[in-house]
Amino acid sequence: MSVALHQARGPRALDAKAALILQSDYWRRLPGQKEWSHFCVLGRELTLIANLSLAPARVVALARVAGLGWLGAVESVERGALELRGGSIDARFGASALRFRDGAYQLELATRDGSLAARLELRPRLRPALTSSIPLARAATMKWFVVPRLEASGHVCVRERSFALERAPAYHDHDWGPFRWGGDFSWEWAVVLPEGDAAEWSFVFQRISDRARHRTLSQGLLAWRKGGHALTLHGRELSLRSEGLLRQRRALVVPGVMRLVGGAGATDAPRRLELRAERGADVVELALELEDLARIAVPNDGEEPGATLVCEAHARARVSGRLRGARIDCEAAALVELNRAPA
Amino acid sequence: MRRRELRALVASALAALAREAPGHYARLAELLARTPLQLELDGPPFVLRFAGGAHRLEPRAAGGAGTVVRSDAATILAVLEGELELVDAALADRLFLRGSVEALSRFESALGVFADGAVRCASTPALLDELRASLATLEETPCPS
Repeated sequence: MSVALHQARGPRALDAKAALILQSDYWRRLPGQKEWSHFCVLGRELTLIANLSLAPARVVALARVAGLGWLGAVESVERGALELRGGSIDARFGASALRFRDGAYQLELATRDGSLAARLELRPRLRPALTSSIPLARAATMKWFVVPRLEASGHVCVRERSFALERAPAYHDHDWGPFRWGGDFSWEWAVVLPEGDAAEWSFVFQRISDRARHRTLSQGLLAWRKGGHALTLHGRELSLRSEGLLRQRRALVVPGVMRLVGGAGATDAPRRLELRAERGADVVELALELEDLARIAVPNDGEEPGATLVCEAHARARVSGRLRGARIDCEAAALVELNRAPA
Repeated sequence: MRRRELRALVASALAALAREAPGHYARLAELLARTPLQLELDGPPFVLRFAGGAHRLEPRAAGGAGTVVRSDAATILAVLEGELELVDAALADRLFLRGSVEALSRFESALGVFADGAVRCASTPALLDELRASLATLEETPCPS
């Protein structure tokens, strides 16, 4: 099974990206469906993750500071503090908010305890794309709208430290679908955003498996170059191997109370992921060295006890190969996300 | 004052669980049906007892309950916020547990069920805020603009 990517088409002017975003990146609010708007920023000293989620309404705010590690929170949003309407990008989730103005996202993020706050403008650098429905499990699918590269500028405050970001590489997606946490699925996902001379490239990898990770439902490596989608390699064109075990004493778990729930404190995250994707003359080798992670414990839906762990891992990537006749050889910051049933 | 607040918070948390996560409350009741807990939380003890699928908070009966949990608000908050592991709390003399191996095993399972249910309750954030407010030791760290 592959992920079909529909490259959004529209006018060629610079603001065509904005028009496409306005057409597609709006809150659906479909009954019985999960939905979230997700951002991550891969700064040199700071990694930031913001997730505004519905059903139930909550905000995930995570930051990783070099030398300090991960901190953050997942906070419920009371009904009266949620302001959004279907068909619009703009939303307020308590003290956090998202707007789209003048061709850029404006994100405000604030945790209840004041330990993490951000005010960022995220300007898309690549044309957005929308996938077909991605099968997760029986009768469960997910739609994925992606802006694979943006530039984030603004300020982030983590505890007493303030960080000024200037055009830091960032990623955004908006996902929705009729699935339940605790369903028969898991995933590995990674975004790789090179800088400098290699900044013309952006990569996203995804693999969907059953919850026990014995069966792969779909996998793909998506590559963008110079403003557009270059290629998607998928299915048997990809091989993935993992190596080692990421050992980390007292990795952050949010919400913290989930440490009391069996299994939420342990994850079999690999130390290294190696991916090879090949189709004819197009070959990409991607190595991801996971350095440390934070765990988001999402309560399973319904009466099923326990949680699904969504692990956000800071990683360094090495990408090499040749795509569409162009040689790639670079290192980059990366973020790897692992969706796991607790061990 | 704090003793009353903590006991009231325990009562409110259990009521919220019963109302907003009834499946978890039922599992908690089942786990603790034969294990009354004597709770000593910053003050005189009281007993949490489950019978017939519902709970009661009672003054300590003569002789008390066989299973004792002694701690304080700061430790409870640290554990609930994931900043302190139960084992570390016990090793640091911030948590005292006494009971049979079976009873303490049930208590640990019950705590997990309680936590798993509490994250599903809309009332939990406000209850945690109340717990934080009951502690004067938390300092605000203003964020430079």
